[in-house]
Amino acid sequence: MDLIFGAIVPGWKGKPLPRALPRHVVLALHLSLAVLDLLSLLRHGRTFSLLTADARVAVLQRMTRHRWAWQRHLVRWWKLLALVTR
Amino acid sequence: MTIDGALRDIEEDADFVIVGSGASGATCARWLSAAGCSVVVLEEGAPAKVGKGDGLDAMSRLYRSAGAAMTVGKDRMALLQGRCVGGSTVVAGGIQSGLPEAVWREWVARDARWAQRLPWEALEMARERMDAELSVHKTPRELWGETGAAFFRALPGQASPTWRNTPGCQGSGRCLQGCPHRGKTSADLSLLPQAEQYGARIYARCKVERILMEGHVAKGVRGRFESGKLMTARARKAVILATSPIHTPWLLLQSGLRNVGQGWRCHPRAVLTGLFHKPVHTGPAASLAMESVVHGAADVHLQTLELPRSWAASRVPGLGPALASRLEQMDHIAVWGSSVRAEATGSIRRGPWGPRVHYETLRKDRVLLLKSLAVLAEAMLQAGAMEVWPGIDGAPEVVTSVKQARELALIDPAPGLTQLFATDFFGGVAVDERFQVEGVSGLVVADASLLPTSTGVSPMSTIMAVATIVAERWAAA
Repeated sequence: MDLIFGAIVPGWKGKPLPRALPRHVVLALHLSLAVLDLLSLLRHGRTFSLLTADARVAVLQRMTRHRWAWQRHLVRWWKLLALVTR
Repeated sequence: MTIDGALRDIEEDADFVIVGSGASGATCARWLSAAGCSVVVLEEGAPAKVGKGDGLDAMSRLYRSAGAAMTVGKDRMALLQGRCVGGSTVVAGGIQSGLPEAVWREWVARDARWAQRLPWEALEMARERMDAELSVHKTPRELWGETGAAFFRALPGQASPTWRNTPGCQGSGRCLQGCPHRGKTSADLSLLPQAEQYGARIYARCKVERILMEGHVAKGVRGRFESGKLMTARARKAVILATSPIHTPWLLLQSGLRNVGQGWRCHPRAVLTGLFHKPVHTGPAASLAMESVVHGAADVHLQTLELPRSWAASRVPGLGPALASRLEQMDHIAVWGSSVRAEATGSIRRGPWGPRVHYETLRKDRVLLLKSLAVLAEAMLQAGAMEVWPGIDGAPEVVTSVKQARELALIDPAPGLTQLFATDFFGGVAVDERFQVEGVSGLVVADASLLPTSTGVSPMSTIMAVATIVAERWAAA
């Protein structure tokens, strides 16, 4: 999570997720992060954590322009979470 | 005082069991208890704690699924609902707009029985009564803020200050996280305490899972507290469902009813972000200070949105270093939004973790939304914005000229073209003359699920007026 949010907002310092965050949302967040690893593997042959900073942004940029709305939506959601947890 | 959860199983008996403590549930509780009826209110969320953090913490405490709920379909629209004592009245902007008479006439034209169910005069009287109860007033000039003033200048003759139930507003621009100054007469601060004074009992953290039926008669509800303990509430006169047009149909489906959940509607919304020459966050400003409502063949609602910095920042385009450089100018960034009275209908279905909302906007809805965003972008540029960031697929990331702004209306209106969200929901349940679910005695719907179409304006006032009428009829029954 730190890597993804850090790629979206440079200098992002992680705060723990609030205790009140519903469990199904936490689960959805972790599943969505796993999806990013999968997409990184497919597109760059490495998991997200092994990519360079520029490549991480490139993977996310590509998702923001993807024809499937769920990919665009995921990046928007991560961006919102990164910004509200700064 | 609200009973916050339970450490043992609880059984309750009352004239009316109300499911949900938002705009409609709280209104029903207020008027029914004042009429001498015994009332039990069951709310899934916790008592609203406001002013403790703006970001994800506030979203987690006050919004359903921390604001992450989505529709199923190509649009992937975010569904924002309050989930706390007071429901969406705690996190709404406090706008109280009366139902347009043209919309009421449309209901009557569809089905003449609406003229008896909800007579126009009764609706207006109920609205005026609730406006007085909640101290509704026009947003004063000193709370427009720079953003609102710019909106007013850019749309002369069309923009007007909103009417809101915020008598104690200090312009913190934090309506959407629950007013930290308790300046909004949200249900948890107005209607529910009044209901408690008349003897209503309000239980928080209690999720109703099923309606208890005997044949075709509703006898009560069964719920479960967060602690796992059971709540069994029996109703002598009626069970009143007031949980929203998403959860009311879902609860009916959970309870074995069929033919509900169809004809669901909403107001899809999108926002534009503008970068202004001068700072636009220099003084107090209400969250939703200014609006422009267009009714007629196409109903469009334009609004200013004063958001907390972190929320507004999510509307800034770019990722990584590009985003970081833009975030340095947050004082110059304003967010304006548009919603349309969409004609598309969706449905509520049972999902593994709760209701699933199947919904997809029609092409004509998306065309209308794009046109309204083009108008909004042009207005932003005329109001002094250097750049407008539309966030629409197929549009330039940055719009700097009126020509480019007008071209936004010409983009291919594919589904999912922009980030949509909705806060206003309607329909899904057919009711009889006494607002009972068709075919079930003693099972009353008092929320926007019973409305045949969307309202075209913020529905809070209409929901409260309808709930007042429902309560009055059942109190007299």
